[in-house]
Amino acid sequence: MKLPLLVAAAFTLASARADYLTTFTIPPYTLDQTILGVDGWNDRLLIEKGKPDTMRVVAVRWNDYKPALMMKDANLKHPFAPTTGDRVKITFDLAMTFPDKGALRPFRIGFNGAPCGEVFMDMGAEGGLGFQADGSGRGGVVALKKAEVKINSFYTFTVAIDYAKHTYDLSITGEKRDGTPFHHQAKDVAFESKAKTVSDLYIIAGSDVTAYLGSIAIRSE
Amino acid sequence: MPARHTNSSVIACLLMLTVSLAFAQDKATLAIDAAFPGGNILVSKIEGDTITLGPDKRDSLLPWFYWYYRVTGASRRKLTFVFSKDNVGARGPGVSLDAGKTWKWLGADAVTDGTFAFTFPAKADDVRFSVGMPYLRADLDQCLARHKDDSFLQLETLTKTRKGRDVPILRIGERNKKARYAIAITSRHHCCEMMASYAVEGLIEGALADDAAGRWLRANVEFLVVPFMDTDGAEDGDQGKNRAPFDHNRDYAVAPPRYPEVAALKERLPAWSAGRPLVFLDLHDPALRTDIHETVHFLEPEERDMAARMDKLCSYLERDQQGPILYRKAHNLHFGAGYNTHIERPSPLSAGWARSLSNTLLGCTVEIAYANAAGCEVNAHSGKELGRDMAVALMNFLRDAPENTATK
Repeated sequence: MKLPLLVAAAFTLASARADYLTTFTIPPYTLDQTILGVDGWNDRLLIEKGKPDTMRVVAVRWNDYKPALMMKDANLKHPFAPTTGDRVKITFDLAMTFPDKGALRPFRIGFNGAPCGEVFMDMGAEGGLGFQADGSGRGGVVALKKAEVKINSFYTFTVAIDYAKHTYDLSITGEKRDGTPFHHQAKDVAFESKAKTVSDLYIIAGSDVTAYLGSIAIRSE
Repeated sequence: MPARHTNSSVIACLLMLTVSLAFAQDKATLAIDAAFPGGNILVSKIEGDTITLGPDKRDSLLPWFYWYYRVTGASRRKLTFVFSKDNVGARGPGVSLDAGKTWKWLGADAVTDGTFAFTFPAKADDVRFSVGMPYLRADLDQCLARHKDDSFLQLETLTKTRKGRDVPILRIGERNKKARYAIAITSRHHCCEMMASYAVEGLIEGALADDAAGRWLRANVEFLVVPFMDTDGAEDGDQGKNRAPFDHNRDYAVAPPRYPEVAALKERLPAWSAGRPLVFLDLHDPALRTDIHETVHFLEPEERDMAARMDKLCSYLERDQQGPILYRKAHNLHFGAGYNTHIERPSPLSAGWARSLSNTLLGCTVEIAYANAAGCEVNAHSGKELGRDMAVALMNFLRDAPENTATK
């Protein structure tokens, strides 16, 4: 039983420096269980009891059975202690299953106070995986067109915010549908927000998509 | 039916000769034929590089859309193939550059009113085209070869076909233990419905998988799988659907059954299940295009208790699926709706017959779209993943619903 103890120790060390970090692998997260009410996750729409089956931790078959948060028709929010200091780094791994025709944005994730705006999957004809949306379900930059997004394959998002310089860097890495590497980078993007911290996140996953969050970390640096 | 087989071979040879002559000016002789397992095509006209062709209906009472042909000697040429638009599916034809081993859809944008062009790569010596992605006995054998050392898998022969072929039947489970539950899976009652076979293979892989679902299934369930209920039709490339005087999935109320596979299953399955709670799923493909035919859907049984159980199974499938096909319970066809209206008793359908067995918890038909399932691509990979998802759903259905057995 040495390995789980080591993993737990490593997690404890990591979390001591992190404002929020999880890979959904250790308690309080449990395989095949909802995350509603777990570790600060809750239903964004405040529906009584929520829909626990729509947001569950599962062993992902196509990713060597590693745990991830699977979301279908889910609305989530997660407040956490506000970040401290001028520099903040947000990283998360996101994968999706989606049909090749549709409309609107069946997946959106946003971080309150983060100038990178909403990260989204847009199903429109010119849509795809993007960021910098304004939270209204419109706008933003499409980084990878829908037809090139590889289904059931994790994309790693990294956002490095410098509140003092009023700039952020964003990178997305993963694979395109044809198996070739994908890397998108936006550097020194200027912003004028008065926000100084990141303090919560929300996720909206529609009924015509299955989304997987493999890990998420928000760190003050 | 040896006579029909001979006729098919003669037609195929004539086609090869005709097309070969038409293109004799080329260095490599171009030929189109269907003289291989699963082959089916009729060439009606050749004008330059444009070839008009269509499916060979054979003994089907109604026109149907299955076709599968081979083109050789066409390296670097661009040929145009003209079909009736009713005979090409939602993502265009399936194309294989490696003699039918792997397939891709050519794409809906490549087809106009059933006509598509194809530029043959250099050294493409055997290019196959089909309405789908054919799955034959050789494909099943490849799957079985991957598990040849698996002690949980047994290959047996259900019976001999009318043409003398062995009908494979698989048993999956612990050999020295009578499992608590029985699950029977059948497909290809309509031999042309090949996309269902990928889901069957996924179910087999799911039952044998070294994961939580596989382990639970092997500990608690014995599977009986008949991948080709019309083995002759699949190998000969028949339509199978609406076969005269009736097809394999209309043979369950006749005594004795017309087809040896059906007769053998009707004997074998009740004896094998031996009173254990039984789930029976018969996998099919619907029509080629439009509406519900471009979805994965279950046909709701008439019986209320079975309908409720099907709903439960489908809830698990919708909740837990991880494959590329997004199944939605809302696509299921309620009893009395659409074409789900069979009320004959005794039922001539396999699922209806299975429901009449006293130990059956659930018997139903599952329809898997040929190419497009609510906007998700159906192909060999996604079809198999759907089967894996179905295996997980079956585990949850049996594991988490003990009340299912209490009512029987």
